[in-house]
Amino acid sequence: MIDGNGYPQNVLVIGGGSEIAAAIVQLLAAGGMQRLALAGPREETMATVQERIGPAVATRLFKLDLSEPAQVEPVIGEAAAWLGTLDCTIVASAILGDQPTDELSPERVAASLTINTVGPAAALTSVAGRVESQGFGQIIVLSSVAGEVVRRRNYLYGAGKAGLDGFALGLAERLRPRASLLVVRPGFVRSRMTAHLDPAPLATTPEQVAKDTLSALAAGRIVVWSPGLLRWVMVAFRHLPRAIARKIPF
Amino acid sequence: MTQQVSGWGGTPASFPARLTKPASEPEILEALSGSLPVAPRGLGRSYGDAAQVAAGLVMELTHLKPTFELDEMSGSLTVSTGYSLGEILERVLPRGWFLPVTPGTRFVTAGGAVASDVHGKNHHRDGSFSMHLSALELLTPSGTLSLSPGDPAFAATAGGMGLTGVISKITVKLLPVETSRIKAVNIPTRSLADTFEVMSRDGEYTYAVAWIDATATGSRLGRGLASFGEHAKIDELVGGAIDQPLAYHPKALGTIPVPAPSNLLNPLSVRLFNSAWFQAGVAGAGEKVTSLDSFFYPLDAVGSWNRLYGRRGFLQYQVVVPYGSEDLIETVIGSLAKGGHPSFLTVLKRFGAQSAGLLSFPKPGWTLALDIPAKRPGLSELLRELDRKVAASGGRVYLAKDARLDPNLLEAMYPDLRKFEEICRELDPEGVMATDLARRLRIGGRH
Repeated sequence: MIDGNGYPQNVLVIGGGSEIAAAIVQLLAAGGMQRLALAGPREETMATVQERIGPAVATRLFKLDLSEPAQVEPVIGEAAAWLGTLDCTIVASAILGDQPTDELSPERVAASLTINTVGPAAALTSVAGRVESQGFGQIIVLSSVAGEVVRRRNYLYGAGKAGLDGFALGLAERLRPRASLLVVRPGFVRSRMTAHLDPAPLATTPEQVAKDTLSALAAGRIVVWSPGLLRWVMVAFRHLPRAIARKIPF
Repeated sequence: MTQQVSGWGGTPASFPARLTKPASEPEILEALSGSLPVAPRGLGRSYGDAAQVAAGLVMELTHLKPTFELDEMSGSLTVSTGYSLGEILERVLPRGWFLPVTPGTRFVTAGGAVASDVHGKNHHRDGSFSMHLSALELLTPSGTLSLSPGDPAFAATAGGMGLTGVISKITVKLLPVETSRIKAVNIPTRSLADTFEVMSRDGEYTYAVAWIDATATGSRLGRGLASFGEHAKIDELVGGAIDQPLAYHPKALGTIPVPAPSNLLNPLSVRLFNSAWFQAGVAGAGEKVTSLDSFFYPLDAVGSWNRLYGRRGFLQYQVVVPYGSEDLIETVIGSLAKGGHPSFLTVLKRFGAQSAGLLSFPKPGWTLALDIPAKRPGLSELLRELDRKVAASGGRVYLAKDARLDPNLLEAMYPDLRKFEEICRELDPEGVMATDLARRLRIGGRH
C-alpha cells in the first residue's frame, strides 16, 4: 500500500541495476519500504543495489532482458505476485550504447530502440493494467533531457527516450487520477553509464535526481526536470533556429 | 468509474471497485457474501485509510437508520449505526440526555464511534465509548451476531476498525443532563511542565483537555490553554437560556469551498495562528457558561476544514505514552517544531483505564494529537523515529488517525493483536472484511 506521506511499501524496479533507481529506492527504504523486486538483465549489478538497500527490506531479483519483450509479461507477473501489490514501479532500464558505431548498424539500432523504448513500453503496459485494477499506484519513468531535443551526437539514445517519454505521457493521462505516473527528465547524470563521457553543463548526480523525483511525486506532478533549471534551458533551446542549435557543442 | 475515497486527512486515497449506501441489514448481508472485499465506512472522519478499500466495496453506512429507540426511564438508547452522534444529540438532548462519551466532532456515525472506540474529554473518568455499551449487533459474512460486553467478538469489535464485520445496531447508556450548556474553566499555561501540572488536576472535573501551542519553543515549549468543563446545572444558567435549558441548535459558520493552496499552512502562518490563539485564550481565561458546540465541537462550525491543508492533505499524529514517559511528549512536540513540521492544532489530555477492546487505543497515560501537513520532506523519517520511541515506552499510535505507521511496530503497540486476528478469522474465515489500513499494517496477514 501507499502511506499518507506518499511512500510505497512494495516497489518494483524495471532495470534493477540502475544507479538512479537505486538512489530513489534508497530514499523509499528510509520511508518504510517493505519489499523490493529488482528486474534486470545482470544479476551482479542488481546484487550491488540489494546490498546497498540492506537487509531491512525483503528484496528479490528477477531476470529480465528487455531485448526480448516477450519476457516482460511473465516476469512482471511473477514479481507482482511476490510483491502482493504494485505500489510503486520504477522503469529505469536503458542502454547508452556507442553512437558512432551503433548508428551504422541496422541490427544495433533495432536492439537499442528495443531496449530503450519497446521493452519499457511493454513493461509499462503490463504494470498499468495491474495498477488500474488494484485501484491505486505510482509509476516513475526515467526519461532523459536527450529525448526532449534529439541531437546529432546521441540521436539513437535520444530517439529511444523521446519515444518512451511520449508513450509515458500518454499513459499518464490514461491512468489519472486512478494512479500517478511521473516522467523524470534528468540532464547529464554522473554515473556508471556516463563514466566515460565528459560531463555536460548542469550535470547532476543520481542522489539529486532521486530527491527531485520524490518531491515531484509528493506534489502530484507528471513531469519533473532534474535539475529544475533544465526545464527553462530546454524551453529556450527548443525554439532556437536549427542552424544555431547545431553549433551548440553539447 | 467510481470516485476516489480517502479519510479526513485526504491521504492516502484509493479507488474502490464499488461504493454502496445500503439502508437495510439484508442488503448488507448480501454484500458480505459477494466476491469483493468489503470496507465499512461511516462519515469518513477517520484520518487515514481505515474506511476505504482499493478495488473492493466501500460500504457507506450513513443511510442505515431503521432503529431509534430511547428508553426515557433508564436512558438506554438502541440505535442503528448510520445515525451520527450529532443526529443522536439533536433527538436526545431536548429530552434531557447526553452521550456518555463524545469525540471532538459530532460528525461521526455511531458505528464509527464503536469501530474506533472513540474517547472524549472525560476519558480520565469515564473511559471510551465502548465501555458504555450494553449490546451490539454485528453483521458478519457468516451471519448476524448479538454481542454483549464480555464476548470475545465484542472485545474484537470495540476498536476493531471495522475488521470484524459491519456493526449495525448498538445499545448505549446515555447520561442525564439538566441543560445543554457547559460550565467551562480556561486556564492558560506557560510551559509544558505547567501544562502537565494543571492537567493533573483533571480529577476535579468531568471534562478536561489542553490545547497546546506546538510552535512555541525553548522555555515556552508546551504552553497552552487547559480547559475543564461540567454540564451546567439549571440554576447556573443566565439570560435567555433559562427559558430553554435543553435547547440545542448547532451553528455553522461556513464551509471551505475548495482545497487551499498546499502552502497556506506553513511554519509561519501556523505560528501566527497559534500565537494569536494563545493570546486570545489568555485574554478569555476564567469561568463561563458556554454552548455545547463551542466546548466539544469548535471545528464542526467550519465545514470541510480539512481543505485548508490543500491537495497534499494532512496527517493527525496521535499517540499515548504511559505516565512516567512525559519526556516523550516534549520530544514529539519539540522535534516536530524543530523539523519544520508545523502542527496547526495540538491537543493533550490524560487517559484513564483502558476498555476491553483488543485494538482499542486509549490506555492510562498522556495522549497527544497533532495535525501536520503531509508529504513534507523529512516528515516520514521523523515520525518513524518517534514511533519507535513511543513503542519502546509502552505507548502506541491511534489507528483511527493513522496513515503511515510501520507495520513491524503494530504488535508491540497492540499486544492483543494476535488474539484479535484469531477472532477475525473465526468470524470471517474468507477474509471478506478488508481495508487499506488493514492491508498496509498487514493485520491478519492481509496485504
